[in-house]
Amino acid sequence: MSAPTLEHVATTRQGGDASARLRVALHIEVSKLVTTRTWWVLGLVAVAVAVLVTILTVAGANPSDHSPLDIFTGALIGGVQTAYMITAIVGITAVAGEYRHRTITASYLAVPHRGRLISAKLIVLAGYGLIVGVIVVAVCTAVAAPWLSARSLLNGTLSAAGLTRAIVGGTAAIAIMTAVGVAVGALLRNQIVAVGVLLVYLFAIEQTINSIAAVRPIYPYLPGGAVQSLAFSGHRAFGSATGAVLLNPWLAALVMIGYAVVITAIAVRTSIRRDVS
Amino acid sequence: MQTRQAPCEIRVDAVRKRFGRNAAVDDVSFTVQPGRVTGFLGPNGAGKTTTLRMLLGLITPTAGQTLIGGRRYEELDSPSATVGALLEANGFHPGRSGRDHLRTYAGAAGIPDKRIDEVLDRVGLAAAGRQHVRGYSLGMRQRLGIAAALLTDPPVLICDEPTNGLDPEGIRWLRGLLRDEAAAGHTVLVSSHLLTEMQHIVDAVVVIDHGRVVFDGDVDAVGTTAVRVTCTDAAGLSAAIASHGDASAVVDTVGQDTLVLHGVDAARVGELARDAGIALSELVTESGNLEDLFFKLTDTDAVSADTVGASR
Repeated sequence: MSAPTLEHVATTRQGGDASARLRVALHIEVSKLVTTRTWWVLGLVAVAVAVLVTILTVAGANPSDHSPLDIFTGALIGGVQTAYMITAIVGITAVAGEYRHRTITASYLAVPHRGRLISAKLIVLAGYGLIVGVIVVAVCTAVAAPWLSARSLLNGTLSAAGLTRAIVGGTAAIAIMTAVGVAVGALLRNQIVAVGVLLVYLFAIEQTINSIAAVRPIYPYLPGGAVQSLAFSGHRAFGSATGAVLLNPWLAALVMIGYAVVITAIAVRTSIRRDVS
Repeated sequence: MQTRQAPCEIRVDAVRKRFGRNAAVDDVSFTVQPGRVTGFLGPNGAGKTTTLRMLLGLITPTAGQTLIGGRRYEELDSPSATVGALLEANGFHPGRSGRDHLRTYAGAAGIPDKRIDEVLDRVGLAAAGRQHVRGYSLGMRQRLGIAAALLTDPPVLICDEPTNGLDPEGIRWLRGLLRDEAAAGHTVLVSSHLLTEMQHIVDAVVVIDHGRVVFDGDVDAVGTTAVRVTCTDAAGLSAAIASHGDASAVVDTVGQDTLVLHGVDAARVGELARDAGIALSELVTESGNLEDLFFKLTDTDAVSADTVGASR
């Protein structure tokens, strides 16, 4: 065997400290993500459906219903919510897809510490979500802002702070929900079940909770509500007069990251720990 | 380079694994030495795969431990650079190219493209490396798995049923490859339920049945050669051998005119027959084979580990 190349391998691969091992795990996860089509196909889908939702929201905007700020952020958050469902699915497949295709064996051989492997996935997929988030928010803003302005629905009442919060919060929401997808995928390990559970939860369970007055106050602390809070804080959920008041964006970010971390921690101690045979 | 290439002994130490009430592996201990090919044999369901997966940290033992170069797999500084593994249920993403699979999983980090091409070439996938695994045949997938195991030129190679999906030519190629790996000083552990495939390439064997080791030793110890003789007077020849005091000779009478003799060579049998005036119609030396041993050991529970221990 050609010694020089292997020496290179040996020197780059050696190193027992945890950060070096995490770097190896991160390197592997980036490589996994970019060597199949999932990342860009679903990334494009996320941007496309987000823009579609934004267009529908702006087109259907009625000046008498909302304040101008609400119309813009409403359009943006609609796009963001659609996008993060798609990127959360990418997060789910990052773990559950490995169990599905049985590449998980090779993954654990390369990174035997399972918590480290899943942590690397959380970090890499959050980074992926961040990139998709930036694109989604930029494109949706580019579509919504000039259009609303032309329809005189953006009459300078949109504050710089509000705009910034909507853009940064929307991006963060997509990044964090992608990581939550990783956590859910790790916990459930079955791709179809995990996607089903995520969608049913976001579409049905959370909406039901938000519609029942007695339990409504917890809605902002649930993943969907917390994510809305990131971009929409201080307002009522969905801009309605009766919705729960959303969280401060920093608290919302903390709550969301908490979901990703706690679900992952449970997964690493239960489903991920199981024998791979 | 020196540290990574240092020979690594595999040690399986009193390992048990229960799945529910069923003990898949029950107090298994053995060691595997560098520079040799060790066959890990047993019928389907004997506990081979479970044992190998425990070695690789994929299955947690209920008791006991497994060590590679003195450390548990999870503790290795650089598992991919130390151990190459080919496992049965190892999968590939259909939409990833073979090359990208190697780059992603087996290399872990820093594998130069040149080395990837070199290994793909060695397993005969140079032309298919950039195609998606979706289009690979079973044999090609197996070759890709072997490429993944060899990528870092690891000092330890663990293969679970590596001949699965390979055609006869592929099996022959794999045998040569395993021999080469052992000749390079690497530790090679290969499981199989097909004995004939292993007969000529292993230096040592560990036979497992019902989750227990029933034989562990050099393959030379397996080959107790036998002499089969067909003659006009089997009883007479048997008496002649007995009376001439070849103490170690063991005679099995097989049928009317055939004897199977252990502990005596064919030339001596010929001399004794001549002296006794018995005409031989057939005199054959049969090298004892792994397959006989295997069936003897794993056939029924009647042959226990104790019997085997005594025969060693």
